[in-house]
Amino acid sequence: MKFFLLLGLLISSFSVSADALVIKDAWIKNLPPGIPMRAGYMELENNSEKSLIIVAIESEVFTQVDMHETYEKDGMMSMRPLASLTIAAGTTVELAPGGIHLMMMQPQKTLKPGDRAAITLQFDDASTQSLQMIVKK
Amino acid sequence: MKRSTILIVSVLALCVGFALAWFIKQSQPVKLDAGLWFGDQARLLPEFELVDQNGQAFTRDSLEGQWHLVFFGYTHCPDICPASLQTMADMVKAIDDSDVNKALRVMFVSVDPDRDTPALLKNYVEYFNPSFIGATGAAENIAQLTRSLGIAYFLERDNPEQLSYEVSHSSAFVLINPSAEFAGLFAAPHDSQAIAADLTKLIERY
Repeated sequence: MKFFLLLGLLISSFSVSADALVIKDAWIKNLPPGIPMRAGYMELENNSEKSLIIVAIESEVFTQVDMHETYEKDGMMSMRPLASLTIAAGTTVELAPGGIHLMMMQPQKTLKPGDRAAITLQFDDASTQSLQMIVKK
Repeated sequence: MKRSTILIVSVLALCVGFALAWFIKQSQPVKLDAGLWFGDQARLLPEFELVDQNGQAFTRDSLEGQWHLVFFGYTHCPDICPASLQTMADMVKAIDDSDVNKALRVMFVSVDPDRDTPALLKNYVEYFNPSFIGATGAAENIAQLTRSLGIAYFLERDNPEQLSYEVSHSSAFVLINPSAEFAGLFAAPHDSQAIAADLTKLIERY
């Protein structure tokens, strides 16, 4: 009985952590080979009751993945790196063209529309969440 | 006063009114759905010399006889440049009138000539649409063109040896008419359908 209780607890805790951050429409803008940068976008929905803070992103497909934000300065579009990205409890943060995006450097293989690339989000509490991003034209 | 004289005076007054309205309308920038049209305030561009994606010279004369919609950026730009070029590609697809499509060329000018070779530009712009033109040139030549269009850009690097750097740049689309004059401006955010509709109206009319 104790075993089942424990198992039940374990399953429910897993499902809580899996539902805490729902990631939708994670995609990478395709570019021709030879161009060293790609941008990645997604919707991050925090269904938990505490803030989730992404502090780093890793991927075997790219040499480096940073969080960036495009913003307007003196009538020009500029980019600034983001050290972390906070998704407040019960809110959704959208990574979209012209705003917050992932800057994905030096793809280590040729990517084309329809391909998938795995990335892992690292949170400030040392937990991680992996996901597949799809390459789109 | 004779009735015929009244009629003549009325018609004349009406003509003057129309002419005045036309003049006022023509001498001020006209707000389009997606941008601004300079009308008869369009300014002739200065002479400049760039190199296109095939290594051929691209000068002010190359602009003659065609409409050009121009965007300034760089290929190492992951977010706003691909998004803008995609908008331009979608815009071209949204233009139904084949005469308008034939009269219009889309051009991407790289303000980062140290990294953007003509070969790289060819690979890049033709990915979005095989008919797109890519061009770049010596820094002073690029500056000559951008200054005349009010396009600002800034290479965020500390020294010329630095290979990894970003470039801040204006995000507007510049419209150049077939007389090589700066004729209009589409500021961001860009809507491909609205720009397609504006350009169709303008090009069909002129």
